Amino acid sequence: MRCPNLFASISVRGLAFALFSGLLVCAGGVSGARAQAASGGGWGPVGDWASTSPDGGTRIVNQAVVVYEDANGQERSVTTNEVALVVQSVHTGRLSKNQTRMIVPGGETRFVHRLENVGNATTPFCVSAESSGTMNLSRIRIYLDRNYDLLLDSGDELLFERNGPGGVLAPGVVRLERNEGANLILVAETHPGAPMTGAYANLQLKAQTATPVALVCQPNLVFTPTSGVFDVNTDQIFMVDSPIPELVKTSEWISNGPGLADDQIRYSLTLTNRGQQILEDMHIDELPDGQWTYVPGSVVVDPPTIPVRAPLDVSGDPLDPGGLYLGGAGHDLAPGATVRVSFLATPPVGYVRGTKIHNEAKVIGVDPQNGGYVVETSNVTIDAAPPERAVTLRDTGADADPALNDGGDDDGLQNGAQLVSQISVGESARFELIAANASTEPEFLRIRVDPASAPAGFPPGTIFRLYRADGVTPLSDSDGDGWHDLGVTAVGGLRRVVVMARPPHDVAVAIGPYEAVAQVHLDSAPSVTASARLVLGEIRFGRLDIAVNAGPAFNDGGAVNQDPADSAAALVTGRPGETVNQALILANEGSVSEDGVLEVWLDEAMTMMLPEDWIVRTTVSATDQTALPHAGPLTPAAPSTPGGVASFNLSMAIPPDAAPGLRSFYVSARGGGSNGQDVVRIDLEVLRVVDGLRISPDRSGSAAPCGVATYLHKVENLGTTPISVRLRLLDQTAFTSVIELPVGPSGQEPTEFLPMHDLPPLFMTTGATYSVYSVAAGAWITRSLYWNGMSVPLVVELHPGDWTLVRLRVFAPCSAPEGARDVATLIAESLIGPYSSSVQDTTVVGPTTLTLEKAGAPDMNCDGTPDAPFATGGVFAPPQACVIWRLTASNLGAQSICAVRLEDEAPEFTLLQGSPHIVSQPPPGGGSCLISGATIACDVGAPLDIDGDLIPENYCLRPGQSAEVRFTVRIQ
Amino acid sequence: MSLPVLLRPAAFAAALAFAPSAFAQPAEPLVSSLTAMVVSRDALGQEILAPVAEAAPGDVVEYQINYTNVSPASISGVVITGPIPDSMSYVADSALAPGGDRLEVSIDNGESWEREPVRRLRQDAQGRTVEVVVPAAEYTHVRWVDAAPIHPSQSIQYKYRARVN
Repeated sequence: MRCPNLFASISVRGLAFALFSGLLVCAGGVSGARAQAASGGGWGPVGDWASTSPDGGTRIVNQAVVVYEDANGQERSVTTNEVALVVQSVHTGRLSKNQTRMIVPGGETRFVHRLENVGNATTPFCVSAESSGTMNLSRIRIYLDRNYDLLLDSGDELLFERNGPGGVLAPGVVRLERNEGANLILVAETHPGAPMTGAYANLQLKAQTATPVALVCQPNLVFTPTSGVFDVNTDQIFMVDSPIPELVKTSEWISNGPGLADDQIRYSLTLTNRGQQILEDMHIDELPDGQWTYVPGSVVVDPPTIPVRAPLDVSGDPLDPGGLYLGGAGHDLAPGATVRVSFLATPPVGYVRGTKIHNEAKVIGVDPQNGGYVVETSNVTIDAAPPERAVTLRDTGADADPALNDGGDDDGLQNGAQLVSQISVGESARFELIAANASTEPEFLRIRVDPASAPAGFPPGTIFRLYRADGVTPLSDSDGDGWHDLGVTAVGGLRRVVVMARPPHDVAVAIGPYEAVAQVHLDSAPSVTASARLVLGEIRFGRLDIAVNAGPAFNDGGAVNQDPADSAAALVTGRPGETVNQALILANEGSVSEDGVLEVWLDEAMTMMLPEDWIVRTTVSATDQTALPHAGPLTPAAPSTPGGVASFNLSMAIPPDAAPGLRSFYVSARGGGSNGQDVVRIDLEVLRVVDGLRISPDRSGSAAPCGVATYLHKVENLGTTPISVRLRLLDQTAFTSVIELPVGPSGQEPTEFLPMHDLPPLFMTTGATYSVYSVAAGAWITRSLYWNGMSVPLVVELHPGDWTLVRLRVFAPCSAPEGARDVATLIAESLIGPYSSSVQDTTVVGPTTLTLEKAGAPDMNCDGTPDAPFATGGVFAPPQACVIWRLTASNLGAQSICAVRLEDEAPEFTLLQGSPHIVSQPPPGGGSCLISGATIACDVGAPLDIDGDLIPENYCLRPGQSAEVRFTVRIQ
Repeated sequence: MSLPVLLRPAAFAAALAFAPSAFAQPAEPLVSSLTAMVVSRDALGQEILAPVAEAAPGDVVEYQINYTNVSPASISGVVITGPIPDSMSYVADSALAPGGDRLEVSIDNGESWEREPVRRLRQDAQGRTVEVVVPAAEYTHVRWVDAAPIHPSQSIQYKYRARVN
């Protein structure tokens, strides 16, 4: 890159954060009086004169604070009012510098001055010039050096012109922002007939401020509003009859590749003899003074007759060997003649980029007219190596994990391509790139993605979005040109960028990989770019289709949904307490192997979960209720061929208290390998529960101790479906009981009951029969009992309308006191379904009703035959006669009584005769008597099992039965 | 038999609601003000201070902080802080306060405070680390600490100067 010797101070408006001083700019064709080069000896580096004052109009606000302790010892603070000061705009500038030139009649001379805005506000400056002295200048002009080359070019703007002395001419106006400067080229001409030697002119260049709007030039150029000091440069022009060498020097830095090693500076000299006398023995000296070294052989001289001479001065003393020396004795420069020289020089060893290299050339000759030497130095060139501009963009080469779309580079290599192995349809691929500023100064980086730049681009409609490193903050495109702003980046600084690429939802299955190119460039040099590839390996195409039936749209490659969820694919019915099943099928119609996750919802959007009392789940099948969370591995579908299919079951357990009505369940299958998913709707109609089973009625009764109470109940099916009924004792508070089922006879109302435990249990095969009234048959029939092998001992089957009988026998313990109470709850339950009904039988122990009568009859001769009827009153008999006593026990109650014992003793003054004996007792009998002294005890009655334990109790009298015992005593 | 006690909670609340002054925070005991005066000199070289709304670059501005204790009690523990605004530089030795108030300055926007001179380790032009006295132009704040109590009705003025950059 080549740049003229420009050295500008620029307030870079487009780069919001930096004020770059010393920034070299190749600034051709800049409009307006903007910042220009400061060149020429002694003007100093840019920035020395830059004002640090705040901008005019700036508001300076201040507010003080006091903290104190109040009367309660609490710390408090108080702020004062705000005080604001507005910074006045100071419109002021500075001109530099005074110079001296020679001129001949009819000749022209030029001066380059610098005007700098050293105020704190944008200021229009009025520039004008006038002359005084003995020399009348024919014309004075002021040009604005637009291209900053310090030379008068065709593109330079004429600001002011005065033809001859006198007259008031409008000054030219140059508008400068604060801290900016402009080059003014002041050109003076003389008349051809102007007097020669001794004439002089003082040429004053004036700069005044102008009011910003009306551009009325103020009389004073001031630093403060009240100083009233002009800033004027006064150049002196002397008319001489001498050779007037004018030596103008320019330079340009030549960068030959990266780094500074091959950089060179091309210096160009233009030497013109403006005088009317020959300049004899002209020699040009370029003295590097250590700032550069001449490249031998690089000089080009026009005319070529000017030789390169040895680095010796006229006295033969050595000069700087690194310089360039031309001409010498015998080489003259005629009036008006021009010599042009250009050569290459190299920066000094160890040159640091940005260091300014100052240089000026000198021409020395002899004035033959007046004798003596004529010496003229050129302007000072100031050069510095321009910044090298470069930028890089690379992939991260890190965090490779093909299973994760996390911004990592899935090839794990820094190879110019950021790879994302796979995404699913609907997902965005996340790419991360690193841009670096490889320039030698801070740069503003910009980046874009060109999706069409690669031959195998992303699917049409893919949206690329660029974000900062956080992946959240979007990059802005401040000027809408498609390049996004990364911002000012320091030398060597890095900018991490996240690029999200989102293919369209309806992307057709296509074979990857997909490529796009990301580019980064420098805002200061858009042609300086770098690029990296964004590569997406695969777009996983997930399509699932879950359905009830394998219709034409099932497993069709994802074209049509077989059973869309906006309508029920199946309607099933069930009753509370039942489990209902629905078979389902699932097809993988995508490009990804799936392990579909199955879930059940209450809505199509899959947001509402099932209530806790509903157990609705996917199982292997209706018969295998193993829970099935996944549909199993399903292979993907290759184009135009069906994919893997799985079948499973939806099991719906209806809660026993479920209300009747329609419910919808949504079964979803979601791809484990992709984001494919589908939902099918299954409707369940919960049927109304009919109060189908009833046992009745509740009963109550009494029993004697050791007695039995018997209760008969009716069990009937009032519903519309057959019910398998189990009968059991749900609870009993005090006594024991046994359930008896009717066992026949067939064809009539049963009269025989057997305890359940007496009926043979058989597994699911025909066992004992029971009597049931069949509505269908219109008669009493018998059916087989069965035992389902579970905890249910026996089951009776009741068809709709059928009924049967069940008998509960409650046994009162012999020790039960009178008034003891027992409540037995007998329940009839359906094996399937919620049907149940119960009865309560209440038993109270009542008083006993056993009577004992004693009667006597005389037996005069003690032959065991009563001689008179038995009488319950007194018996008269003489001594030595006998009396026969008769004891009669009678059960006058409603319950059998056991362990009946009759006891008596011989009265006083009598003796037992023989043994007592049982005259009568219920068959088969079994009672006996015992004598103990004068006491007799006789157990009477028959064996009887009154408590149902299969062990008969002894000496029992059934209701209405009696027993008689007699014994004889002799009167002493 | 004792008579029941009659309670009137509503009336008590109403009393609270309509008599906030009985329980409210006291009025601000310290009244403060800040003024800015541009410093200039007359023909005799005497300083002239004038309140202005504008200042030119290079002008010196004197900030005057005035406090008056309008409470019936003395106020102690007073700390007065005067910022040096951006675009301005503190004029050395310009802070004035009555009495023996301790002057402290900050060069880090009030994060830390110390007495003058402020010393820091910095690198010189040759890259050597040396201890230097931080110039007053780098101060961001000045403050007076442990000022004497301000008695009832007493007014006190603090002032300092800064130059417009």
